[in-house]
Formats: sequence, structure tokens, C-alpha cells
Amino acid sequence: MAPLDLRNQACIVGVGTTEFGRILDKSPVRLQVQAFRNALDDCGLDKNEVDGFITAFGSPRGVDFDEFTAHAGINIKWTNQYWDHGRWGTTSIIAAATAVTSGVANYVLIANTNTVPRGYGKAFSQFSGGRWSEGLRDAGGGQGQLDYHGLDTPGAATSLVARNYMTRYGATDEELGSIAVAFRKNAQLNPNAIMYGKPMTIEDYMSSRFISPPFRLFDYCLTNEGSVSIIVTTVERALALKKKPVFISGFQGIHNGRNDFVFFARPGLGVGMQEEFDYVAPPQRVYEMAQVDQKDIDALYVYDAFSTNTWTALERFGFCPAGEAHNFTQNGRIELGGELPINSNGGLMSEGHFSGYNHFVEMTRQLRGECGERQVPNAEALQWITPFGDSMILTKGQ
Amino acid sequence: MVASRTGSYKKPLPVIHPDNAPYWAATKKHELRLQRCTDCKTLRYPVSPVCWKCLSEAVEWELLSGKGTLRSWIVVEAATGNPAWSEDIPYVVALVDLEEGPRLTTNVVQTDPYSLTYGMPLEVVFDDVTDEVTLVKFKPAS
Repeated sequence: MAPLDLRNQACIVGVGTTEFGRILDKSPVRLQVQAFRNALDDCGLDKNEVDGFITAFGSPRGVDFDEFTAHAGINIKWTNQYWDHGRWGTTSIIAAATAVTSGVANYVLIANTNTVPRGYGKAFSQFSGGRWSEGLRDAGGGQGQLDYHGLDTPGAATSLVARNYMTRYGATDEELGSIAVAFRKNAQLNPNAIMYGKPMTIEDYMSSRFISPPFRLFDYCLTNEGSVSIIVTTVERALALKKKPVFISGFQGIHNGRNDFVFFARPGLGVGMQEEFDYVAPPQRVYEMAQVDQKDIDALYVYDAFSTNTWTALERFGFCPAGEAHNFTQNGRIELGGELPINSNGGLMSEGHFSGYNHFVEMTRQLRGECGERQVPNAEALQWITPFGDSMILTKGQ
Repeated sequence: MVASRTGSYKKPLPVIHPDNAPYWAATKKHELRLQRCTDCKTLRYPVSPVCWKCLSEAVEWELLSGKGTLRSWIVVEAATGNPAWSEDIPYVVALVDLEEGPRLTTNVVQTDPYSLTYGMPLEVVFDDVTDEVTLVKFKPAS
């Protein structure tokens, strides 16, 4: 039996967020229900129609499915719950698309909430010195952390990725800074971005303090509070709702293995247990499924928890050969108005870290033409990419 | 290295459990031992109850030379995770390729953090951080 062709069979119909802020001091449930209300308003759906729910739970603290269904008063017949901290955006939407196309649920809500230890997290004891579960593994954390050797944050661990990349390919600090500067510039056109109204130049970047070189403060994404909701249904149901649907045209899942264990390093960089070799991007299923290729992509969305993720993701997906992304991101190419805008919302670095779910909200709004000053002209096909290999292409459909 | 058996060690410690206990028992004796699969002969890291190549559980804890080379490193200049690391700032976290193959994430100590060079030869040093735990670190080879 041939695989089912799910191209353009499921759609994103509603998106909603809360305000985004460094500290909102609102509970995860309150935030998640606010974002849910906004997503329902966005598509004109009654909450009682929602019968599937996907969430992420852990740290940063989100809302689990028992808790959400009780507080939101919805009755679901299918759920899926992931680990939080951002690897699951594509996987969540793939799961929603397969749920609605298989009929196990009709309308699936994808929810993601972030709270931080110095914000509402103060109220939860799990933030008071508890050790992160991945850090307890003999293989260490997913970014390569090994806390008892002082590599105890995702940022410090990813700076090893940056160091290997920059040494191998001769990338400079100024080139690295171009990424944070570009996303900050994009955020100046996004009133909901946490860094809206706070422009940054390359000089500002270069004078910011080192955390673990080559990473400076601004190579890190934000930590913050807020919530995102995304509603997915079949194309037939989508056409009956308020707005033009956004089509889920292509996708591929997280790739993992010993060469991908350090998940912000694309294969070949020799970080952690990874081998070091000359990487050549293989053909990617996401393009075959969506029936487009890299040159058809009008804007790109990257999981930019740290600056170098943009380089490793661009190379992983063949937007440029291995070792050339540090040149590719220069001269305004990835800014709004450039040849290939990346993270038109400002990304995790300047809109906010909502585990990438905020990027899917932005992609939906861009394809609807709702983005005002930051609208990507004639946006027809947008792609989400990550250094760890998952991807999704959203389009306006035919 | 001078043992720091003060009982006041505030940094994270490895979680020792039956699967990895032989590794930590060896380091406590100032021996670096990793598992070699006695079926397919793969020397493995991280410590694991199974061979990642052939899935065998048959194993020998092989004594290693403690020699390696510096693959890559960072100098941590701000403790943004556990504040207990502040007292060590700046400190080196390194990827060290062991002579026998596996690559460890570890620290390079007993040298100026800003004096390191790619590929420099290193040798193991055992840091008795508590009465129970000895961490494996490296210093420039003598």
C-alpha cells in the first residue's frame, strides 16, 4: 500500500496568543485559556467542537491535558502530550493533521504555554532547584549538557556547536551577530514582540557581554511567559470557517540518532558523540510531499533558540552548502525585504520563546496577509526548519 | 589533583545507579574504564547497559590509558545555570578524544583557560569532589 498523500488535506484554521512578556505573572492555565479563546475567535469555532488536544508539559511549565480539559470545559476523544522545550512544533502539527484526516478527532487544539522560574514559576516548587530530567541521563542533555562538568545550560552547550562550526568554516563574530541583528530588526515591525521598540545594531551586539564565547548575551533567545493556541481541522471543515484556511502541504519529522543527539548541531560537526565529516544535505521529504523546493519558499522560519541554529538549519535543508551559511546570512538577505526573510516575527530571539509555536502563528498570519508592515509580499509558501531535521511547509493551497 | 573532601561541594553530581556504578567505582580508584562489548568489540561512551552497535549486554570494563587530545572547548565566562559554578569562572568545558576512540565531555584543568590549542595532548586527572564521587578531568600532558 502506498503511503497516504496528506498534502493539503489538513489546515490551520485558527491561531491565538496571549500577550508576550518577560514576566506576566499569570498562571499557565489562565494563559492557555486566553490563547484558546483568541484562537476560537480567530476561526469562529465553538469550544465544544474541539475534540482533540495536543500539549507539551514539563519545564518550562505548560498545561497538561487533564488539567486543560477540566479548566476549559471541553470534551476530547484524542490527545497527545509531548515534552516541552521546543522540539515538538512540527510533530504536534503532524499529529493533528493525521488525527483529523484519520477521523480520530475533528478539530484539534495545539496548546503551548511558557512560564519562567522568576515569573509565575515562583509558585511551583519544581522550579526551586530541581534538576532538569534530561540532565540525569547518562548521555546528558539534548543540547549536549553534562551538568556535573559545568556544561549545565542549553546555551553553554550550544556554544560548543558554535565554536566547532566557526572554527571549521572560518566564521567571524560579526557574521554570527548578523543573525540576532536581523531578527531584532524584523521584530521592530511586530507590536507583540517582546523586543518591539528595542532596535539593536551590530555594534550593540559586539559590545554585549560574553557568556561562553563565541556566544554573547544576544546569541541567546529570550526567556518569557505567554501562551499559543493553534487549531487544525480537515480541508472540508476548514472551508466552512471564518477565514481562508492555511494548508499543511508538506512535513517531515524529527531526525535523531548518535549523529543527531546534540540536536542544535547538524550532522558532521563533531559535537558530543557525533562524528565529524563533510555534510551534504540529502533530499528532504518535506519538499517532495509539498511539491515545492527551496527556491519556491517565500520566507523561512527557524527554531532560533540560539543564533547558530539558523546556520545549522539552513545547511541541513540545503539552502546553502555546508560551511556557507555564515556568508548566506549577511547583507540583509534574511531580513524583511531581503532575498529570503527568516523569522519575520522576530523569532525566539526577539519575539519570544514560545517553543516555535509562535512561528507557526506567524506563518499562518503571513499566508493570510494579516501582517501589516511586516507582511512578506505575495507569500504563497512558507517553511519551518530546525537543526534537528523536522520541517513543515504551509501554503495558501491552490 | 588535591582532593576537596570538604563535604561542602555544591555543584551537581552524577546520578550513580547500577548501570553506571562500575564506571564511578573505577574513577574513585583513579582508573578510567569504559565498556567494551565482548561480542562486537565496540568501545562505547556514554556508559550504557547495552552496546549501541549490536545491542549486546555482554561487557568488559576496559582500563584506558587516560591519554587524549583536545578536540574542542569553550571557556565559560558567566555561570547562567547553577550559581555554584561562579567560583570556577572562567572554566573550560572540553571535548576530549581519548586515544582509544571515544570522545568525552569534560573539563581541562590545571592550566590557563586561554592557553589551549586544538589537538593538544592531554592526560586524565581524577578530581575527588566528594567522598563518593570522583570526576574525570584532563590537564595538559606532561
